[in-house]
Amino acid sequence: MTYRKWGRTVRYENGTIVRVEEAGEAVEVGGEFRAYPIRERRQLPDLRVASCEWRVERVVMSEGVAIHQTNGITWTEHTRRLHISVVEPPFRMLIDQASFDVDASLPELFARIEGRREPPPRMTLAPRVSAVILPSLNISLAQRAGEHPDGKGRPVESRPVEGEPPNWYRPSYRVRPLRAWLNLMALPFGKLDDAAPRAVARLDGGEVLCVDGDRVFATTLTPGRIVAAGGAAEWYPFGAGVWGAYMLLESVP
Amino acid sequence: MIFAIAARDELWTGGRRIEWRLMHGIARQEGDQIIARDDADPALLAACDEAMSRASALAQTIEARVRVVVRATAEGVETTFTVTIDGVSIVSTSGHVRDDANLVRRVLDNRQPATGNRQLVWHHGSAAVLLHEAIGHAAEHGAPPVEWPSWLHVEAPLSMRRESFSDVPLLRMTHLHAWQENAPFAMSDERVDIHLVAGGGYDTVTDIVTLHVAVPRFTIRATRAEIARALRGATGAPLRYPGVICSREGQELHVPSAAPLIITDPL
Repeated sequence: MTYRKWGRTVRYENGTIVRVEEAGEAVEVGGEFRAYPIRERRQLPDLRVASCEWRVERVVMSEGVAIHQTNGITWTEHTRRLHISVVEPPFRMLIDQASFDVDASLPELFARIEGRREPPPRMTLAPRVSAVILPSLNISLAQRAGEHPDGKGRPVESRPVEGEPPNWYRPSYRVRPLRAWLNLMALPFGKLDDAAPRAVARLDGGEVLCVDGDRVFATTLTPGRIVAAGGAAEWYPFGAGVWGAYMLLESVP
Repeated sequence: MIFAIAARDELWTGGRRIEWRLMHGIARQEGDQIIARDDADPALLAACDEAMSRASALAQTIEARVRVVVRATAEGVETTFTVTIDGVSIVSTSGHVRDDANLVRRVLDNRQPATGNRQLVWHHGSAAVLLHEAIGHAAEHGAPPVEWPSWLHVEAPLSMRRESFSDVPLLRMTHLHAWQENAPFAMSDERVDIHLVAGGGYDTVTDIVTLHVAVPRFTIRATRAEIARALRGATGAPLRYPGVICSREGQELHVPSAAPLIITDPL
């Protein structure tokens, strides 16, 4: 099976704008994976340049468009990726998402961080936090149907996560595709608690930014029993894609 | 400013090639804008192919998982071998890869568990990785100075480097060379012998260096000041450490590193 990709990206990386255009092909021959550039070009749309005015430690904003061709089908994919790290010494907040619209309350909350506290007995995780740990949680998970085919051109269908993943993840034409659950999501259950402290963002070192009434602090994420999970709220570009959801969990003491 | 590169990488295991890649491209930079395309520079591509032909022949004779990477740029041709045996990796070059693979086997055959709160003895130049994080990366980020022992000398020049044509060049170490002059040296019988290091990092916010020691397996977390205070002595000439692949902003670059046998207090 031959896979071809024609891609264009515009990336704003810490003040530098990088425009990249490339095309490549990947094949597997007798168990050997081969990937190399190809000369053929395809017409790709122009992309707008993003920029960031926030005072941050690191920012990467990338907008891309790619034509994929494999298994007799061709499809076009548009992507956005945002990575921001913001520092309030000694803490670092990490934001990774698939859109350029950042929740404006996050930098304000982070600026109010008071220090570290023990994890609250119960905590509501925001979708951007639950998405990071979802694959490791002992709850029922499912693959949600995707807009595009997988890395081998096969449809991505909704199904429970059981046994071997039927789909293949190909993050780049240079990477050998591997079986993976795409667009992973939690199956909703239980009842969320609006009054519980909220983990609103991920911090460096396995910590989260937690809001409890007027208090804003860092705490360690030590997931115990998951009490409730809401519906899929936002897609995040972790691994082969994860749907974040509000989740209520108990902390392990 | 123009940057051009041709690179090949191959993955060998048990004498069989299982992955093969070619990458080439040219980046043109004006001010804060880079335009990068996967165009080929024929001379670099030819140099890359020639070096990979030799490296490939060598890689298939090594009984291990071996990733060979050849990068040809205007600065020259660089060939590195990442050899993984029993989950432990080293990074080597054509002239040393056989000896370095044998070193890994010897070290793994004789590995001992780490015992806490003992003097640390850094063998095979492995202290270069500690200094890479504590001195080299700190310099890349303009961290405030720390007082290092007067017997320790470290050369870690910085230059603008990038892994690929689509990357933003960053101020990175080109190599790290540490040596000692008239250092004290007293090795305790109660010690932990460090043979190989898996990786590490330096955090600019906390000034903490994290080092994952591969043999024996444990992790060190200490500030630069704590590391400087822990340095107790050294002996001999610098030893080439088999490999540092340095990752920053997702860009992996080889940083040749060497250090003498160094002793530190527990970290």
